[in-house]
Amino acid sequence: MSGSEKAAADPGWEVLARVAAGEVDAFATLVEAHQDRLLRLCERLLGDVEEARDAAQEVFLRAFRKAAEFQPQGQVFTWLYRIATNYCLNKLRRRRLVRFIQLEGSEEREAAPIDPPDSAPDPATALAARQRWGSTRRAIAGLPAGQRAVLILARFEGLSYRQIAEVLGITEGAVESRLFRAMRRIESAQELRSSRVS
Amino acid sequence: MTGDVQIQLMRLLHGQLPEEKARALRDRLAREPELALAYRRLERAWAGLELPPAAPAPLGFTSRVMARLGAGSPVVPWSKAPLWVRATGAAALLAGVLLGMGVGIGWMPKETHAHTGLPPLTESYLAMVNDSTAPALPPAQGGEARQ
Repeated sequence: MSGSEKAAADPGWEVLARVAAGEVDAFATLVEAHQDRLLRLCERLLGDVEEARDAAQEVFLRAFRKAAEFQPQGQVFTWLYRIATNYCLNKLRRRRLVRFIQLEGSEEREAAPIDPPDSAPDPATALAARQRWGSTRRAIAGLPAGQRAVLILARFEGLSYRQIAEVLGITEGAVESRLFRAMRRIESAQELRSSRVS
Repeated sequence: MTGDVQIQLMRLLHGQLPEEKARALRDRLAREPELALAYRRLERAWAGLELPPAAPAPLGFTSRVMARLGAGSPVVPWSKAPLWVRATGAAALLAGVLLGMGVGIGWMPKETHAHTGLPPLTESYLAMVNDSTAPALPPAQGGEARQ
């Protein structure tokens, strides 16, 4: 299926067309369909549930305002991801210091309130999972904003390099280069941590 | 190992390599232990990136978004505005330009000397050029006087 066929097949574009024609209530369909994944993306990028909720609301408002300018290319979720990523990266750049950098070095705060309730069969497994999540948060927090976005979109959102390029408005070559640099940093951090433990 | 090979390993791990290239790289991985080690390290680092499942959207999230939209409607760009809107806009713009030109021309004095006591600039210039008895221009500073 070609890109234009995919675009035509995405019912989200039709919803956006209705919104652009003044059917404001139709926008609720779009919010319902994409709220979970947008909230998840904002949470991954910002590292804070409450901020992510505010950000996701703001992203939907921006999408609504841009509905009249939409060009049905690709898929609606990549268009929404683009708005969300730009918004969150700007937010991160503005405040300079992301919240989960502050968690660095604090074992107690690794069990951050954003972690879901334990579903692991035993406490040791649950603790190990929380430690892995904490390590990942710290590793991601240590990345520059551009590398962080690429890594999150690839690892946690499962986007292809082409989709990431579309979301971030960069080339596929730039995507793989950022991802490569991000992975180098992560590998180094993981090796350093292993050597400290041993 | 070059950065290019490492990028190829990363593409292989992410399933972003064309099948033919992927097969060739897998063959190399089977033959070259150093390459295989680098791949395993990358694989481990990738798998080690874990985050908890994200919380679902809170109840009433959609309603809150819709409430914030209020009575607002999307801003239609000029290129997508209806024809009558664009025609009216263009006519208003043209009328504004014509009005501005009319006002400007209306204010422009026809006979400058009527206000200043001097002849109009064009006439003055032509008279000076044609008058061979007019005094020569002073020489430019640092240069030679013209004949």
